[in-house]
Amino acid sequence: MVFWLTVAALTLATVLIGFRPLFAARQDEAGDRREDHEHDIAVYRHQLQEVDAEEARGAISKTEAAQARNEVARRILAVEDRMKASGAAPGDSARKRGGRAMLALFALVFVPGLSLIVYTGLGSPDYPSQPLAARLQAIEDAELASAETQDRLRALVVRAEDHLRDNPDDGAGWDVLAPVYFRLGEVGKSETAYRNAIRLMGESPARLSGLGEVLVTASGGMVTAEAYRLFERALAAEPGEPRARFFAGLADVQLGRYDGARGHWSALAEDEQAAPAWRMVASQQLARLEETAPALAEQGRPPQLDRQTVEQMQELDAQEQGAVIETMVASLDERLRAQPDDLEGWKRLIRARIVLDQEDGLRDALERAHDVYKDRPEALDSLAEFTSGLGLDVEEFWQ
Amino acid sequence: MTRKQKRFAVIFSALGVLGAAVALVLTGLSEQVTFFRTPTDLVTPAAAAQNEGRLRLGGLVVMGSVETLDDARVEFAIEDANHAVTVRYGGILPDLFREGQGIVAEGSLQPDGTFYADTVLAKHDETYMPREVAEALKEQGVWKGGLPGEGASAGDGY
Amino acid sequence: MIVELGHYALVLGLALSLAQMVVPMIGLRMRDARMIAVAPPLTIATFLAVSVSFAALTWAYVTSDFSVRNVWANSFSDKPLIFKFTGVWGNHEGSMLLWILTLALFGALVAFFGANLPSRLKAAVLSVQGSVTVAFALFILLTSNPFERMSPAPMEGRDLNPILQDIGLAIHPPLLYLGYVGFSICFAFAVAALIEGRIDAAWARWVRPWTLVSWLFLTAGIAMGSYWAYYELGWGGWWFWDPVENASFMPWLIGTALLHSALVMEKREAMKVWTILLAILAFSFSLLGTFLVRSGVLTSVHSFATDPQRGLFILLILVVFIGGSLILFALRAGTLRNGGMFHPVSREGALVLNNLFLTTATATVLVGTLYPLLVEAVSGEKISVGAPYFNYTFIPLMIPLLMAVPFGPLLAWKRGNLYAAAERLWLAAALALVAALVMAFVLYDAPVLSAFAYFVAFWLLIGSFADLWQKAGFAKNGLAKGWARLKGLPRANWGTALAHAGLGVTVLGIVGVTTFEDETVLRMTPGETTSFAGYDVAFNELTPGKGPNYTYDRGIFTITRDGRLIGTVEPEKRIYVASRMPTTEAGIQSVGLFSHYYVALGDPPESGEGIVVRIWWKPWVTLIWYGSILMVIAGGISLSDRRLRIGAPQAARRRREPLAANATPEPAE
Repeated sequence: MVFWLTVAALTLATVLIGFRPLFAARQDEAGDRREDHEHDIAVYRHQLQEVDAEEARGAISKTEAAQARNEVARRILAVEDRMKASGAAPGDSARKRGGRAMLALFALVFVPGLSLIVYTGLGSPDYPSQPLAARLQAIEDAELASAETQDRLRALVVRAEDHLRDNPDDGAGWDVLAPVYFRLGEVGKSETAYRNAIRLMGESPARLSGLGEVLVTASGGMVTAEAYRLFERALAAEPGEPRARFFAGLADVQLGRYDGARGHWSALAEDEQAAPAWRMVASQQLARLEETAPALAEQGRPPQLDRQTVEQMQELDAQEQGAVIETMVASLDERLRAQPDDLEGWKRLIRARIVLDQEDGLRDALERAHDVYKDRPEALDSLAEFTSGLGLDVEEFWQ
Repeated sequence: MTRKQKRFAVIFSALGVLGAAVALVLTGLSEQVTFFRTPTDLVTPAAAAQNEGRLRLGGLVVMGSVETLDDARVEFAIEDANHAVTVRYGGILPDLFREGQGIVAEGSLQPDGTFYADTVLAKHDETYMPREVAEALKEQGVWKGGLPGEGASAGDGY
Repeated sequence: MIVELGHYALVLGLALSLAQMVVPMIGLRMRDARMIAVAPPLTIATFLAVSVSFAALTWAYVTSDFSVRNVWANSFSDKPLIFKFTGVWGNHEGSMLLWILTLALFGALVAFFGANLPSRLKAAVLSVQGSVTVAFALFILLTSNPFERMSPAPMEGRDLNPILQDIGLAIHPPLLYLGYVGFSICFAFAVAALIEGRIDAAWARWVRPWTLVSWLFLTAGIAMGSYWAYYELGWGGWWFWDPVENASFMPWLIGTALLHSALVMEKREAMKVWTILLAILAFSFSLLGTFLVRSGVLTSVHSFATDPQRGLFILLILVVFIGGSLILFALRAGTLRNGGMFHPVSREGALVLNNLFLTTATATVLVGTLYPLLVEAVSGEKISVGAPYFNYTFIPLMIPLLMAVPFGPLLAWKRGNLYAAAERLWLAAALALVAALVMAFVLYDAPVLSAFAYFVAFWLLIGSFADLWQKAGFAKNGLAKGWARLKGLPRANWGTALAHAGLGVTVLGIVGVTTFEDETVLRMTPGETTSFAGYDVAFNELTPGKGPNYTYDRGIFTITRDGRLIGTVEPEKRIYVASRMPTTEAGIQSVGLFSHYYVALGDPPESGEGIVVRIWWKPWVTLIWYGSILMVIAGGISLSDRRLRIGAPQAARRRREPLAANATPEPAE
C-alpha cells in the first residue's frame, strides 16, 4: 500500500512538474516566430559589440572591423526580412483550446497509464527490498526463536523420559518422542525410540520412513540397504508418503538411477497432499539433479555408469536394472583384481556392496582391500574412515 | 585569386590530404595487419608462406606446459584440437593467464617452429574465451565431424 | 520497496521522455505556444524520474540487496563502500542506466540554462533529445534491465570484476559518458536546426557551449581512462589502440573538429552544411562506439560481457538515428545558402585544414577499427588491426596538423597573411629547435627522428602562446601595459592558447615516453639488487597479507640513485576472494616532475627461487595527462567566457522599433 501511494505521489509530482505550463493561467507569447527572431537579433547585436571591442583593442584593423560589421548587419537585415515574411499569424484560439484539452488528457492518462501498464508487466511490486543487514538480522532472530523452541522441547523431553522410565511399554510415548529426539539432533536415542514404537505399536508408514531418515542421517547421508527397505515398505503401505518418497529418490541418485530419482521427486513436487516443505525440497533437489546429472553420469559415480549404459538401463525394468548394476559391480570387482592399487575404486566397490546388501561380497572386498593396503596404514585409515561414514566398523572384518 | 581559384585551392588540398590518407590506409592495411592463426595453421606446411610477419596465435594453454626459463622468460604451449605450438614470451603474463584457458599470443613464428610472443592477451573474465579462439575451436570440431576417420583419433582428447 | 520504486521510476522516465519527444513536436507543427512551453519542464521531469531510478539502484548496491540480480552479479557484501557506489556503473546494465541519466541530465541542463535559446529551437532540441532517451530507455527495459529480481535472494554476491575495483573507475566512466552522451545534445541541436530550417550564425553560437562541455568531459574521460589502464592493468602502456579506446577517441576527434568548425559558422556563417554534418557524426560515433563495445562484435581488452540481442538492439538504434538524421540532412542541406567567402590562407582556411585532417584521421581510425569485421565477413579470415597500423596511418596525418596549429590563431579572418604569421613565429620556432636539439642530443643521445618529434612538440607548446604574446605586445607596450592588455583579452583567447599548449604538453609526453622508454624483465629474490636505467632497485621483501576483500603478495622495492633514496614502491599481486580472480597492482614511483619508475610483479614460479619482476623507466610519461588536464582547464576557461552565455534578448525583448537601425550595411568592398 505504501508502495502504491509512493508510486502515485511520484507520478503526480513529475506530471505536475512536467506539464506545469499547461495548468498555468497566463498565456505566454513564447513560441511564435517573432520571439525566435528576437533571439537571433540579440546574438547579432552582441557580435557587433564584439567587433567594436576588438577594434578598440587594436586586434583588428579599421577596414576589417567595417567589413565584419557589414556582414553582421546583413544577417540582422535577413532576420528582419524573414520576420516580416512569416507574419504574425498564430493559430486560431479555438484550435488551440482543442489541442490543450487533448494535451491535458494526454498528461493525465497517457503518462501514468503507460507507466503502470509497462511496470506491472516488468516489475514485481509485492517483492520487498532485501537489504543484507536486515536479512542477517532476520536470520539471527529466527535462530534465537528456534533456540527457545528447542529449550521448550528439551523440557518436554525430560518429562516424557521420566514417564517412559516408569512405563517403558507405552508405544505412543516412544512414537511421540522419536521425531522430537531427531529434531534435537539426538540420532541414537531417536533410533531406539522409533524401534520401540514399531515394536510396541506395529509398523506405520510414518514410523518406517521416520526410522529410515534417522538411519540415513546416522550414515552421513548415505541411504543404506536397511533404510532403503524401510522406505520401500513405507511406500508399499502408503504410496504417497512424502518422506519415504524423498529418500527413495535420494537412494536412486546414490545408485546412479537418475530417472528413478526424477520420478520420485517430480511426483513429490507435484503432490498437492504433501507438506509444502517436502515439495519445495523435492523441487530443489530436482533442479540440482537436472544441473548435475549429466556431469555425474560422465564422471561415473558409484557404480560407474556411462551415458550409453544409463540410456540402455532406462529401457529395462526394475529387476533387470538390478541385474545390470550387479554386472557393473562385478566388472569393477574384476578390474580391482587386475589393478588392485585404486583406493577410490575400492571405496566405490565397498559402498556398492553395502548398498546392494551383499554381505559376502562386502566381506570379500574388505579383505582384499586390506591385503592390498596392509603395508600402508594411511590407506587403511582412509578406508576405515570411509566405511565408518557408511555405518560400518571395518575392524571386525579385519581381525 | 578569383573565386574559382580559391575553391580549387581548397578542393585540391583536400584531395591531397585524402589521397595521402587513402595511400596510408591501403599500405597500412596490407602491411601492418596481424593475422589470426591456430596451432594447426602454423604446423601445416602448406600454409607456411602465410605465416610470415606478425601473427596472433590463439588456442588453449596446454596443461602443465608453463615453465619459467632462467632469463625470466616464460615458455608454454598453445594447443587446438590437433596440434600444439611452443610459445616463448618475455614479460609478465596477464593476470588471467591460466593453464587450460583460451588465450591469444601476438608475435612471430621462428624458423625452428617456436613462436616468439611480445604480447599475451587473456580476457578480464575468467569464463571468457577469446572470440577468435572459440570460433576456431568450434570450426575444428565441426570439421572433424565431417571426417570420421580423422575425427576418431583427434577426438580422444575430449 | 525502494528497488521496485526505482524500477517504476525508470518506466515513468520512459513515459515522460515519450511525452517530451511527442508533445513539443506537435506543438511546433500546430504552433501551440503551450505545447512548446511544455518541453523544458517535461525534460526536467524526465530527469527527476530517471534520477530516482538511479538513486534506487545505488541504494540497492549500498545495502547489498542481492535480490536484485544486477547487484548479486556485481557486488559483494565485504566490498569497501566506495566500490559499492562505483559498482553501480561497473557493469552493463548499471552503466546503461548511467547513460540514460546522462542523457536526461543534458536535456535538463539545456532546459535550465538555455534561457538564451528561442523557445521553438529549444523545444525542438529537447524533443530530439527525448527521442534518444526513449530509445535507450526501451533498450534497457527490454534487453538489460538493472532492476531484475531474484527469489529467493542469494546471501552473497559474485563481486565486481576486481580490475574495476579502483578509484580511477569511480570517475572514469561518468566523465566519459558526460562527454559521449553530451554529443547527443549537439546531435539534437543539429536535427532541430534541420527540422526548424534555421541554420545560421546564431545557431552556431548556441551550440558551441554544449559542444565545449561535452568535449571537455570527453577529454577528461579519455585521459582518466588512459591513466587508469596505465596504473591498473600493470602493462605499463597508456594507449593500446584498443577498439574500446578507439570508440571514445573517434567522437573526440570529430568533436574537436566540430568545436573548430562551429567557430567558423558563428563568425562567418560559412561551413554550415559541414558543421551540421559534424554534429550528427559526433553523436553517431558515440553510438557506434557503444554498439562496438556492447555487442561484442570486436574483441577488446576491456569490455563488458556481451550479448548478441543487445547488439542487435543498439544496431537498430544506430540505424534509426544515424540513418534518419542523415536523410533529413540530405533533404535540407540543398536548401542552404552558402555563407561568407574566404581566402584559402585565412583563419577560416586554417580551420578548414584542421577539420580536414581531423576527419581524415577519424576515418583512418574507423577503417582500422572496422576492417577486421569486414575482412571476416568477406573472406572469413580473422585478422586484427593493432597499434602498428594506427601508428602508421594516424601519426603522419597528425604531424602536419600539429605543425599548423600555431599558425591558426595568428591568421586574420577572411584573408590572412601567412608571411606575417610566420614572421611572428620565428622566435617560437628557434626556441623549439634549440629545446629539441638539447633534448635529443645532449640529454639522451637520440636519433634524428626523435629530434624532429621533439621539435614538433616544443613548437606546438611554445607556438601556442605566440598569439597571446603578440596581442600583449610586450616589446611595444612594456611589461606592465602588456600584462594589462593580456588581462583584458576575452577568455576565449586564453582558452585557445592553453588548449593548444596542453596538446603540446601531451605530445611532448608521448614523444618522451615512446622514444626513451626502457623496460626489463628479470627474476629477483628478496635481498637482491639490480641496476636499471641509471637507478638501483633493491628488492627488500615479499610479504603476504589480506585486504578487505582480497589477499595479496606485496613486494617492497627501494629505488636509489647513486646511493640517494628516490622512493619505495610496493607492487602487489592480489587475489579477490569472491571471484578467485588475480589482479596486478603496479608500484609507481615519481622521479623528478614528470617521469615514472614503474615496477610490476609476475606470478611466483612454482619451482625455484624468486619472482618475475618487470621494470619500466617511463620518462616524461605524466606529461601526457598533465597536458590533458591543461586542455580541460582551457575548455573550462573558454566556457566561462561571457560571450558564450549572451544571446538572450533581454532589454530588446519587447522593442518594436526597427532593430537594424544602428547597423545599416555599408556598401560592400
